[in-house]
Amino acid sequence: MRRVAIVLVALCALLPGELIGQNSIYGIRGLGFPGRWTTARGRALGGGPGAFDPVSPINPAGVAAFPRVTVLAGASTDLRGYTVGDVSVDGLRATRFPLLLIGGRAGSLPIGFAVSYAQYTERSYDVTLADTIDLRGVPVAVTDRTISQGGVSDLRGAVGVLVSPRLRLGVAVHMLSGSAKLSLSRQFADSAYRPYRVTSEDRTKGLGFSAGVVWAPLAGVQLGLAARTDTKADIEVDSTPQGTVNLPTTLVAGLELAPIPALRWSATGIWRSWSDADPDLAARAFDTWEIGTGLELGGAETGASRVPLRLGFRYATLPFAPADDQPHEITLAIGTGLTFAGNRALLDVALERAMRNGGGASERAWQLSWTMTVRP
Amino acid sequence: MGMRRSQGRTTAVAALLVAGAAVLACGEDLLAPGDGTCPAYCPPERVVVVDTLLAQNVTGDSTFVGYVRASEAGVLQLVSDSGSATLPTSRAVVRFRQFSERMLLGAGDTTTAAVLQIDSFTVEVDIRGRNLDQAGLELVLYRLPADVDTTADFDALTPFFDDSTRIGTVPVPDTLIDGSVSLRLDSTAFPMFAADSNRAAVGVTLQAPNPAYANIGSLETNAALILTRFAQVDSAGTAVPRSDGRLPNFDTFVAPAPPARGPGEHATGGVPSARTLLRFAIPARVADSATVLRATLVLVPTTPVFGAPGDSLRVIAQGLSADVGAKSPLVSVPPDSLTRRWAVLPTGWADTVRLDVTDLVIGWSRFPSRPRAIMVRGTPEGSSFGEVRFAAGGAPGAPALQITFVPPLTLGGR
Repeated sequence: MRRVAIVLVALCALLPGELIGQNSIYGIRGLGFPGRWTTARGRALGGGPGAFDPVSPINPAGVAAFPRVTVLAGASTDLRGYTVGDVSVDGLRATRFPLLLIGGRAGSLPIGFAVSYAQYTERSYDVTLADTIDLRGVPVAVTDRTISQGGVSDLRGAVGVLVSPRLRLGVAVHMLSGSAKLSLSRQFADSAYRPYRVTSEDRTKGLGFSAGVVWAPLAGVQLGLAARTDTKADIEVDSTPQGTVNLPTTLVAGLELAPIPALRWSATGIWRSWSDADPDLAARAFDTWEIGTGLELGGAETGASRVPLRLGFRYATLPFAPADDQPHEITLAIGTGLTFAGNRALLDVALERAMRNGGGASERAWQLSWTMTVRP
Repeated sequence: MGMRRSQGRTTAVAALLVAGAAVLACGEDLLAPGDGTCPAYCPPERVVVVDTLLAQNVTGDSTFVGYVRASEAGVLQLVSDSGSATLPTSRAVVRFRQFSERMLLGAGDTTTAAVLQIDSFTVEVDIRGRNLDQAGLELVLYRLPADVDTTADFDALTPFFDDSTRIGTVPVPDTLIDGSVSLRLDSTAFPMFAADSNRAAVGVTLQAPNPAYANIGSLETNAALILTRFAQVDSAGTAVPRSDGRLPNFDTFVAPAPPARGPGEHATGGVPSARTLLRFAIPARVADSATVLRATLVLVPTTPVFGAPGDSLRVIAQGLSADVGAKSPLVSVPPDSLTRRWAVLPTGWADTVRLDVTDLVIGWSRFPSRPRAIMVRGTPEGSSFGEVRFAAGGAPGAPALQITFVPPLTLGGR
């Protein structure tokens, strides 16, 4: 128990002031880059278990499966590069903490609950642009730098009911809240011109509701369905309302097969109506599809091996682009996990290779993510 | 035992992984060049720079004269007589303090003795600036009436700058830029010295093969001329040599009056010094919400800059903390703006004068109560004949403000 407390303290120490998630060149326009809403285990499996996973804030029915109090925190580091036209950029790096969850069971009742904090969208970038402009009849070199730090977070409160050993139902309320610190600066090569800098704080607020079901019709088979609707997001810049943006409806369906305890296959598909936001944005917004699947071999609780091997594949279309060509993402993943402290603590790790293309750009990223789960 | 060891290894590996992740979590490098990726993959906001010339926005302007007179100047400017109507000719006038009838016998001794006989005088002159490209400069000293004062002008004193009153010439070494020269005069240099109650005054002119100028020190900068008397005094019936010196109690320089200013013409600089006050109306789109990047006061001279040959006039633009006309208190210039805020105009300069007033105009936006007015003056004032004249508001070539700014920009576009 003491070790668990130490781990919890260490986790808290690692968390930064702002919990923000992954970034991408595809997150500069629109509302940002969508969050993954899953753990390192889920990412290693391509997002396949998302529709059933109790520790993934996708399907609220999952929380009914918590056997006891569970605390989870995750982080992700990506090494990224992109190409737009003739320009290639490498060596971009960022680390974020996109997931935090506390869940448990309401005493002896067949009711589970969870409060989670996930990344809805991420809008962090730092872009420099060098140019030469004509001022007072003289060419003057300028360097512009635009920085955004922030995104929109999804704070979820979920309740799940274990209707029967084969059926779980759940509902959740999502509070969407975010802020991004924005700055735009220009430096002039001619010192006669004063540097220019403007800063703003962009705030986003919204609400969402989700409901789901997890059904196990046969031993070793699970089906998961969930739906979520989000309201319009109210956007303010420096406390001045700037309008609203329609947020998407989300539909989730998943299947898991476990013919033997040491072998699990899962797949989850997610559709989101991001095109609802299209009229409200300068960028193009598209509906997105996401199909993820993964295979898990072994694991401490299966009795086959203490260390599982996880393999995953994921295909997803991306919601925002500057042109009509909708970008997409393919992710290959591998991962494993460790248990210690008498199976009361779990450390899951995933390594992903993400390949994004479309909208006149391409992006490649290595993503290393880990999740620490503690079950005191 | 084996199981415990295995658990220990697992814990160690987990700890290493957590530590590794923590190390990775410490860094962030999001900075990426946008060149070639914009506008598609750049934030939609763009910095739009606007440059505007406010040419007809002078709402009030005046020239005020008399801030620093020649007798209050930090240096006395001597200009050789070039015979040109476009160049000034000037002379220094120095009246020394009265000498005593008695002199101290020795250092540390308050005993005085009667002066028996004057042997000689020396005049020491501190050179504070000159043409660097002219050789063969000479200072010529003349004897002036001992009661000369501020009422004497160039014309009134001209008869005294004559060969008959010339008392000596001292060459200025060609290499001397800042330093002193002295001239020994015999006892007859001031024949009326005793009759004038031991008082003397001198006039100084500059003589040069080509038009030139030299600045000599004045009372205001503790570098005035020094007249030293060498005399024999009575020490218990024995004549012994002693000396004493006097600083001026009045010094100035005189020149013919410059050409009169025309109507609708402003002047800055000169002797006595003049300042020009310019009041501006700034459009709200600039003053209220824009970010000023650069602001320049543009002055178009109506005539070439007047001044000593080879000399230059330094003009500076300053803001006002309150607009009360000629005596408006000026806002000091931030040190980092000083070199931009002034312009150095060589004599004869006829091109447009541009003074950087960026921080001044930014201050108008930040502090709306500050008068939107600029005082243009020479610096240092009153120490040279340098004077620039430019058109008044409303006339062709009127003072203007050129302002480069960024209109209000709201971030957060998607």
